[in-house]
Amino acid sequence: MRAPNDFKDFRQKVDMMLDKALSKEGEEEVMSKIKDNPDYERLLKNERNFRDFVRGNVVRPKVTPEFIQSIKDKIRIQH
Amino acid sequence: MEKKDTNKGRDDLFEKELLPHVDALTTFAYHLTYHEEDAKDLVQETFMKSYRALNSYVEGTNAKAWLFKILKNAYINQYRKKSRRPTKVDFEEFIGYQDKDDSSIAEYQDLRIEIFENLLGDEVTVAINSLPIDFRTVILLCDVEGFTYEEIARIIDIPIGTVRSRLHRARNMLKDKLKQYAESLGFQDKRGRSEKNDESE
Repeated sequence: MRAPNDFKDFRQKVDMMLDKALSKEGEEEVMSKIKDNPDYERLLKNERNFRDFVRGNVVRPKVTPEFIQSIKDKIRIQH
Repeated sequence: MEKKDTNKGRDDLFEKELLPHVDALTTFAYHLTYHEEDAKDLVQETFMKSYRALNSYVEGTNAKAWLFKILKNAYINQYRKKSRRPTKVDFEEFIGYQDKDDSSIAEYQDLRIEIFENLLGDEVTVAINSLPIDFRTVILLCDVEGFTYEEIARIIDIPIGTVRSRLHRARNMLKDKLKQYAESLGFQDKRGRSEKNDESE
């Protein structure tokens, strides 16, 4: 069974790794732990999937050329 | 003479470095205001303010983070009060939540891959928009726009440690909401209880 503190520490490092806030050495440490523990591997996979899912499915309103032109027009008025 | 000293130079700089971020700004504004027209107004205002403040922008630096900070400030100053759909958690409740000790950071909400098969894309937006504003903001900045902790800290004026803990809580809240949606659509988490307990340690 995993030690709770190990798991907490690992989970925080996974967050940081996926948020690109971990050093290269830190990332290597995470990847090395994953090799030895399928639970850790699953955690990383789930976290990565969650973020991809959010990023890929969030609604992004379409920006029309007319809207961009209206911004440019307003800027020119300021001259 | 500096490029920014002439109207043409300013316009060129604006179009080259600021305007390309219009899509990201519109997405952020939409999730703050819940309304496409309000979002457009907010984005236009952001660009007007940024153009007027162009002298304080250093060419080739982080235009995206600079614009997001301007948009966030504009939203706070002018749009929050007249939002058509106010945040579901009132200020007192939010402060109470923030004041809790940080023990909740030890909790971990797991979200199985299978759950995604039971969700539609729209539910992500509904779930994000149901989060209190400060939690919604960090999810949008980090997970949707890819800002670093340092950039987020500068955009919303909070310490980096708070960015991290707020992100952790926000993601747990979002996972919980997505799980609820999936369950309402028939998804059942079939994991054994002992495994669940083990994961939440």
